[in-house]
Amino acid sequence: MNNLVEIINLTKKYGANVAVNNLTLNLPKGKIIGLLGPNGSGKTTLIKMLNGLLTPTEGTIMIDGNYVGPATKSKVAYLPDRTYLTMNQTIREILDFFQDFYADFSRERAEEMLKSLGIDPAVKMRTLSKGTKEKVQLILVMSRNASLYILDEPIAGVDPAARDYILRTIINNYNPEATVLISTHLIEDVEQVLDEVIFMRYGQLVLYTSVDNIREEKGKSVDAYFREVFAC
Amino acid sequence: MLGKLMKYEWKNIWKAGTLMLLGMFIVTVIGCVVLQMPGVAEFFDSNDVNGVQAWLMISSFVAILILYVIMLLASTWGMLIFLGIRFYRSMYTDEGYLSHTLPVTANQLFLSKVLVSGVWYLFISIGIGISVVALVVSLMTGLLNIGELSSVLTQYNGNIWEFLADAFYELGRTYEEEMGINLLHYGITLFLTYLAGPFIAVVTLFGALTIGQLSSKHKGFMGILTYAGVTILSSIIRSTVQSAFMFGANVMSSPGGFSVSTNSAYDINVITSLLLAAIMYGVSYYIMNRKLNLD
Amino acid sequence: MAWELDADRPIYAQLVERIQREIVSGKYQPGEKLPSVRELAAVAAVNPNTMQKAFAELERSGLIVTQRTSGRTVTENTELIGTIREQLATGHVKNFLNNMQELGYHKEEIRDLFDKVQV
Repeated sequence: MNNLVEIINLTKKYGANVAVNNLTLNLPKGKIIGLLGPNGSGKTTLIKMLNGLLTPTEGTIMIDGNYVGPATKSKVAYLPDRTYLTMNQTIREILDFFQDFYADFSRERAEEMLKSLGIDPAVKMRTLSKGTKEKVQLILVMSRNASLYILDEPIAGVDPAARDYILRTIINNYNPEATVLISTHLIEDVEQVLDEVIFMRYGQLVLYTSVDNIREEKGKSVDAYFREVFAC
Repeated sequence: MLGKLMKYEWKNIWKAGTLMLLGMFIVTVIGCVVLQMPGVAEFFDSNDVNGVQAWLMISSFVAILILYVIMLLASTWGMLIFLGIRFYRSMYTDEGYLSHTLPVTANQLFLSKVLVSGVWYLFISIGIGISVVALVVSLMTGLLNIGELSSVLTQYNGNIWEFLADAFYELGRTYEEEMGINLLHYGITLFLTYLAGPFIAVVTLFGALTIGQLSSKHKGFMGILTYAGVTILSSIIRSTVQSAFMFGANVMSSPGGFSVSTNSAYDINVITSLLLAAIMYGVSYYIMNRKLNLD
Repeated sequence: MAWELDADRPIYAQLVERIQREIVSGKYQPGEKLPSVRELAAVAAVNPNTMQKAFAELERSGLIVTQRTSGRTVTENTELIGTIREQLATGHVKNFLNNMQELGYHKEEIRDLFDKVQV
């Protein structure tokens, strides 16, 4: 089975508002995929449903042959676009926590990455700067040997050097059995790293293609093509 | 997984819980010491107490009483608020993104919090119980030397425990004969209520906070409102059912009738509480599995 | 650190060009072992699949050889390297001549210019 994620007729409605509209999509293994779309396109809703943070109104999601639940959660590594760790814990305590709950968590890898960034595991999360907090969260996610990585705006609030570090980490972590889904607005910074892109709007799929297709057929960067497709 | 969740839940609560128990202990000890002070017995016994001494005695007693009441309120309400905030923060704020993506079921998440929070709330309840008993014993031993009480106690050679055991037996016999209440039955019911109470309180609070998640705005506030509403509603229902039972059996006439209805009334009390807890739990389960929507 | 790449052209083609340049200029000697796909992808800050595609292309052209035991190495075929070197250089010269033509330079003027300009 080469499809890691199978999304079938997925719909999410909030009353009259349809956030995701009958979406059908298959994601293969071993690719780094960009999830792109304007605000309100349904990206966030889709991500929440993949993570089991939201229940679909209709349709199904299968990840590696399982319905969304504890079985999939143990194989999905999620980096949300917010600080979700407990602030009065030390980094070491958080490492203990992750190690306890996730069988695929590599503590050595996490400690190595923290060391290479000069982050002391004995400090409390609360004392760290925003950028450092985000790096810690990224390190935790990338230290898991997951089947699906979902990164929501991983480089948004971060300085350019940190961005390079984050992209390099994503590349270094690449595993042909796993898939990385990156949701972002900063297409230009990220497109070199992508294999494929998904364009969404109004809760629907606009386009799902390889990045090279766009460059060869349209002669444009993904960023430029996006602006063309979603011109206001 | 449930065990692991409970372990971390314990880690998050034990410090504050222990602190509260410590505070309770300190206040109780102060109270006991004051009641055991030499002047106390004479004060209650003698008829010629001078004004200043009396005033000092009374005001210190009042002060202790107020302090004690504050301590009681702080322990129960404070603990409940603390547990509620912890639950809400870990489940329905940004931290919820961590909790709900752990490889566990929503039920395991909820249950782990209910069990550990309930246990700590139980510790607080037991603490209060012990504290009250300690104060009562202090009071009684403090009054050891006065009037009729001392003559009764000389019968027991000052053995207070034997005295209490006999007193309870007499109490039970009286209850049974006069009012037909089986003290054992009542005792068991009371014990179970005492034991289950903290868990019921915690499930009700957590359930209300979960129900509050259904609203689209001000979810936390709605949670608190729901809790207030549910608590008031359950009190009303409980009193109504109890009264219905008591009056339904024509209590006024026969002692026998009184016994059936009063015993049953207490059973009803326990049953409605358990029912409430079960409903809150069930509703929470449904919401977490079907309606979850973190912001 | 990351390689300078144009986003509006297929990246793998640009990677091929760059690696060709590095081989032809002697940065990677004939027979020398190349970094792994993943290592080079991280250095270049590109998707490993893309780097893999570039390697595959280079292998097809014979510039890179995959050996069972020692991984990927530059070919020992210096003749081939020389040919490619000349191809690339020719491409640059053609480009240059076109540009100069647009400026209105003749071949003689260009030769004079060559003597004047220092690099």
